[in-house]
Amino acid sequence: MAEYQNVFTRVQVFGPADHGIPVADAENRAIKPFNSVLLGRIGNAQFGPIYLGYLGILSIVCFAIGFSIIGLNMLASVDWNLVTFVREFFWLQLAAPLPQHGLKILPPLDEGGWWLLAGFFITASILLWWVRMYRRAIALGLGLHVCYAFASAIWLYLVLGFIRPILMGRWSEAVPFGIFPHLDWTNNFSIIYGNLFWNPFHGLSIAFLYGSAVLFAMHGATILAVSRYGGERELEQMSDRGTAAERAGLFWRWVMGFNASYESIHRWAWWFAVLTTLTGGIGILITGPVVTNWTVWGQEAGIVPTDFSIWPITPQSTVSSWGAD
Amino acid sequence: MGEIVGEVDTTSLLLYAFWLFFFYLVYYLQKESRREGYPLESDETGKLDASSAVFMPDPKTYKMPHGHGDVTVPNYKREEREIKLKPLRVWSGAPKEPTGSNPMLDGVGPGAYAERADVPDLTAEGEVKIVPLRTISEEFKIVGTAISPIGMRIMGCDGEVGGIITDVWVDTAERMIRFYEVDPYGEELTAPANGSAAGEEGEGNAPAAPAPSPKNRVLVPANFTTLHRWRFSRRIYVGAITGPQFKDVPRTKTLDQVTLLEEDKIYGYFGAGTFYATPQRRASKFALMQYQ
Repeated sequence: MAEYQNVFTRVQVFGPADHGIPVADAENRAIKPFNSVLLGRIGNAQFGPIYLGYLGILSIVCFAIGFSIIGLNMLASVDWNLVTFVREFFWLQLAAPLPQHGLKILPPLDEGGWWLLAGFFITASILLWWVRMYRRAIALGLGLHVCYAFASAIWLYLVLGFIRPILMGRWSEAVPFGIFPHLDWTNNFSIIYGNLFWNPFHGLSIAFLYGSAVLFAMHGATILAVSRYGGERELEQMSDRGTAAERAGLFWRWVMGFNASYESIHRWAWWFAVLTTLTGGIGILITGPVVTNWTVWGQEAGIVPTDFSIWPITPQSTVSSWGAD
Repeated sequence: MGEIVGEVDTTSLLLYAFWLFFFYLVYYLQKESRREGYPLESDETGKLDASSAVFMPDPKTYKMPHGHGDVTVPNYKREEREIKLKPLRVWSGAPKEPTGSNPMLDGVGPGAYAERADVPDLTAEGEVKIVPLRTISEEFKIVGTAISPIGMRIMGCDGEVGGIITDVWVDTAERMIRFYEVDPYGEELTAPANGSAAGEEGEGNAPAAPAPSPKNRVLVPANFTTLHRWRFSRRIYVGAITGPQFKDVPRTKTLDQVTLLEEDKIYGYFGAGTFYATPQRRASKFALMQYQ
């Protein structure tokens, strides 16, 4: 018969509204807390309260403006036809300014002006949200680890849309708003600059991305596996090691020869996540301003062969196997 | 392109700087991971592993709340209690067999527990965190299931009833059930041998149930249980131990709180059951290995 896998909480307990640690500015809390059995199946049953201060409201307003600019431009591009909009949504875009406008503020609205305005508001929204997270962490007496991790992600975002275009001298280098168009941008970016796979910081970013995914799966699974020994009470296990922490560490020691501790696993996970966007941002930043062709760089660095005959053109390799050619 | 001096280019410089940083980071993370369980000790000689010193971190101190002092890790503390295991071979890492007559009670192998503090876990306000529902029933209630588990039978892996659930112990901070409080003698009291209906009002027929005391109440960790349909009703099922083994679950000192040490001993008992509860579980591990 199945042991309790601890995927869902079957028998729950509801209590009075939990307002958390007493803090100074509690009057900005919105939404009267309520309990939900459905939420309680997968986590904490209580929803709310949410802190709604000036920064948060301003951030939401800026995001709404930016989101509307993007959406309305997409709608305009299909002649305001809602049906076409829904059908073609994934292919629609708000494109970056044309190259001839350089770094001008503001190019004509339909030649990139709207993109610049949308970008300004979305960026403002993100930065305001960062300040909100910073202030909430301080108000609750927390460390600033979440803020610094978010800052790493913002670094990559700013490199892609702001810092690198400025270094290259034109907004047209930046990423368009649109689902498939922004993916096309990444494809073209790699082709233009000689295959980004040979960019060592791109490779590092991928390694940390895969590592983050693996680490999170490992950590989530480990804690659920020792939840029968109270292992999800991580702070208590850190300051007073119990059998849960011992079993979790021994599992990985026996599987791969070394292990983390209850605190250090979170440090491993934090660094892997932060380094993903940190190295990624560095990689994008030096593509163009420093290196214009990564295959040539790779050949000079000795990691890409100069003689491509090692990859022979076989009769099959130039013909599409599914008949498009 | 991008050369700085001779053959050295910006990208390579940045990359080497990154490797320098990253190797130090891994060294730092490995050190952080050694705050528990290190330095290593040789299985055969008992001597401490000298090479661990390179990776031992500087001690850090947790300032515990509510007057519980400071905790410094690493603390180089060893647990002093006798371990009733004997290794089957001389080499380091050899498997070990329990030497006691009832390994479930010895706290060894999968039944291990740590010597945690003998104080209850506290909330941020300094109150005892895990308490029986009967003490907080004005504010807390059970939801999510049509039939409350209180009053249900609890069943072991052998299909035998282990007892009757008398209460649930709630973590008031995280709002979840941590333990089922079980009367392991409850089944005998409600189903007397003469076959009369359970719970009959007695004119002295059924023996009066004894008052609740730590002797006749055990705590069963909620994460070792599943809610299970049984014929036309429901039971709580525990796969780790058999029905009769509910009587030997390590007891708490009082009926209104459980200390961290008591919790660990209870968790360990159920962990022991996964390996030692039945002869089949013990035999299957070794039958094919022919260590005897």
